[in-house]
Amino acid sequence: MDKTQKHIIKRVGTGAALILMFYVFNQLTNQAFFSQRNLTMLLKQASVLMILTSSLMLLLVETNIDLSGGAGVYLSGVTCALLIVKAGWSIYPAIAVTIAVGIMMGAVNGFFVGKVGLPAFIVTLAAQQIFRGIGYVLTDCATIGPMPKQFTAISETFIPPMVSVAVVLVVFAVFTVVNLRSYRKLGKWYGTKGRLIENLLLAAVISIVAIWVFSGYKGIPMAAVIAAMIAFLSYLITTKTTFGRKIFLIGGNKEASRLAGISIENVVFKSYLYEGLMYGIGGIVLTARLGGAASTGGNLLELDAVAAACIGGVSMSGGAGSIVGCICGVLILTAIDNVMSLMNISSYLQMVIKGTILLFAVCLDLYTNKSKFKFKLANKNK
Amino acid sequence: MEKRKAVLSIRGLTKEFPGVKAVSEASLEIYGGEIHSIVGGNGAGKSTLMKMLAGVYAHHTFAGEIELLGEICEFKNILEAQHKGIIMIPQDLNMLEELSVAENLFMNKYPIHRGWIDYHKMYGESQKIIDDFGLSLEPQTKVKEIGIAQKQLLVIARAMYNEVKVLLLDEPTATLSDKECKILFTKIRELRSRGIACVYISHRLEEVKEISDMITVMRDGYIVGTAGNADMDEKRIVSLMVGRNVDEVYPAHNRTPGEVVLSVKNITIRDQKVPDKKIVDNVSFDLHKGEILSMYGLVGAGRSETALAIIGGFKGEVTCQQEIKSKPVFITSPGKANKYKIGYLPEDRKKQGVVDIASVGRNITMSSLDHLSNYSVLDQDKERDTVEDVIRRLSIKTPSSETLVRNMSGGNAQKCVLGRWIAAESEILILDEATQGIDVESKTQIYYIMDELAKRGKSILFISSDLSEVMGISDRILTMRHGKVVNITDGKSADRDQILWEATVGTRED
Repeated sequence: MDKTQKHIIKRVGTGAALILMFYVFNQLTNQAFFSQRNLTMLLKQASVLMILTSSLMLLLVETNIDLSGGAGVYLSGVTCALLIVKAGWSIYPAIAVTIAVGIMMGAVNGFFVGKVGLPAFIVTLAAQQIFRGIGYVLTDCATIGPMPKQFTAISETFIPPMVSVAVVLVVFAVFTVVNLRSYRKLGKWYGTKGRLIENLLLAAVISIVAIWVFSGYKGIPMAAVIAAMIAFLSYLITTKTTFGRKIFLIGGNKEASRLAGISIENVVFKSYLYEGLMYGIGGIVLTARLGGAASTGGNLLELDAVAAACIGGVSMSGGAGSIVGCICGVLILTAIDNVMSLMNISSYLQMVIKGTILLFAVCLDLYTNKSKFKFKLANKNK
Repeated sequence: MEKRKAVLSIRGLTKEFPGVKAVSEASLEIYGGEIHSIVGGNGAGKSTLMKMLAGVYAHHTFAGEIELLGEICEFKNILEAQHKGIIMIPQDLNMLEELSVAENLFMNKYPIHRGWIDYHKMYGESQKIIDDFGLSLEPQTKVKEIGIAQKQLLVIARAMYNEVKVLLLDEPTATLSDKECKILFTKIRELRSRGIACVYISHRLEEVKEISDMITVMRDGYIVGTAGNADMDEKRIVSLMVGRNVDEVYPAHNRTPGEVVLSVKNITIRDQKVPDKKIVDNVSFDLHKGEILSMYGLVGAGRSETALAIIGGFKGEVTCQQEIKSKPVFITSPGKANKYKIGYLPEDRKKQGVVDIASVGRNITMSSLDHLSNYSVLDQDKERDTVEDVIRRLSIKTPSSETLVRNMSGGNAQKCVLGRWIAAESEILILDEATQGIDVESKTQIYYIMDELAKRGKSILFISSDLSEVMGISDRILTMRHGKVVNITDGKSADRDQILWEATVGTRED
């Protein structure tokens, strides 16, 4: 009973903190933050980061890292823009080649980290230089554009408000049915009745907010749809596949996993391939949003992704993390960016504030049980 | 007996973890100049009790009183306890692997000369300590280069050269050889004669009988009996520990092994640093269907390396030929071994066995994920059924399959690793020190599980350093020494002294 009470207090506390945060944001920006238009834009803005974070999470869970994320996204974007603008390819083949190039970049990282066994930090640091360098060589550091309207539509169109509302309702309905079914089927593996109610209640609140946002402005931005689909894909991978399960086991204890017959080489290689796939998709969405491939594209994106995952509770010592946490991390980070821009804070000062917030978030996290364990683990490994 | 004053008295100590009462109402008096052993099954609460005394758990996290030399103590951390003279030597050694022996011995209190560390003095004094313990080491050697037994003695040495009033030793001999045990016991007796109270936790009853003045038995968090050594014979200790009389520790022996299942030939592993030295030298043997073949030998005889070579998990160069059911196979990784239905339970449960931040269920299914999925999508129904089946068959004590393994006792965690290979339906099981560091009850359960598996036609290679269990369980016994197979004898007619002689002869015994 004590445990449930504690749990409820924790949940209510988190909710209250979020509302307080929104209130503060709103006050700081003269009520501009909590408008339907701004929240829609925020989702659009968050999409590329979301795409990259949801695959980076897998790497962090297996105690690897990727510092070449931003560069990978940039080079993919350059590839796509060059093919369409300079070579005059049509959109679909260009997209296919871009994704292939992304996966190839992932394969390079995966080969050296997974198969050769070099430290991920060094390999991806080198890859960051190489990928971005290739991009600069190909473009002479110039912006490649403008992209055709047909292409920018990938990011810039909206699902009309009424259809958006229907989509939200359908998603909510499917979520409810799936949860009820697995509650009945899996029994105690699912959790208690309280857990079910909590999940459904949370989904209802999110759906109501979503309906309010999407019905009041242009609807769901296409970029957000893609990001949501990628996040969902990552969710399925982490929870429903052997690949995802193995990632968590490797993060928990590499040696035990090896002796239990899990091929660490393969799992690591595959997870970098998945990261590479996200370079491709991220590059396409970014290029569509900006209408071209600029030399600053994807700059420091990899560090934002690490920060978002960290805020979202992904353990830096491996073995723990969830995609839902990552979504929260991405949204919080983007909201902070958004608020600072609305407040006209200089971009230099923004960096200082963002760094401070990251530090603060991790410290705050230290006081929850889960991460106390995390830190202990980190110390033990030393 | 004369009336003495206790050095350490504890009253009503109670510590709860979520869902478990690890220690309930523990009260004890511990006197100076006395060796007080605490025995009990895994999960009986011995280690938890020690950690409460040593300040690992801050005083506000549990109930009860600790009185040291008439003073009520409320330790907030280990350092406070150390300052008062309570020093614990934990089960898992915490040494700094990259630093030298001397630097580890003098951790936190390096001799300083004009603001710089006085290495001359440090090395000199370290050498004295090393000689005193009969170790053949250089003070400059890095700790990562020395054996686990030597590390154990170093940790003990480090504690002894501190100001100590109460020394808590948690399973200090689990990894020591007989010779090293003797050195340790001499040292402990020396401390006793200096009036220091020693609290000694062990699973090895012979040792406990040999060294203790007082023996306390714990079960399920309660102290169920305390008496002088003379009043506690082994039978009484075991019946207190288990809560019932145990006569049958080993299952009755009526198996009939069948044809050869696994045949290994000429396994050879060279030492990477000393090319002339062979860690494993031309080891060949056959394993039959439905057989328990024990591999007996001292620590360092090359048994684990042989096992790792068989499953393709040895990190380094190996030459080896293997046949499964008379067909040559090339096993290059543990994953491949799993495909050939060979499962390996590693020696070091914590480091190599369990993923302790994952749940019981996930630990059980980690080697059979491919059977429990379609096109690598997990079949959750099938997984749940498998896990629940294994938990029931091995009687793993856990509130649910979602409990994290780090919250479980050693015996139950070990059963999860064993259950992993049962879930993977392995035909050949290599169990490396499967019963090390677990309680008598779980040990007995594991023997019975092994017997049942063998009767169902599984083949078991059982690596052990405990001659009694080897004698009790095996169909055949393979003895190894210095990386070579010395002899393979029939389990029923084996002579205990003969095997011991084969395993030890040639090693220097003082």
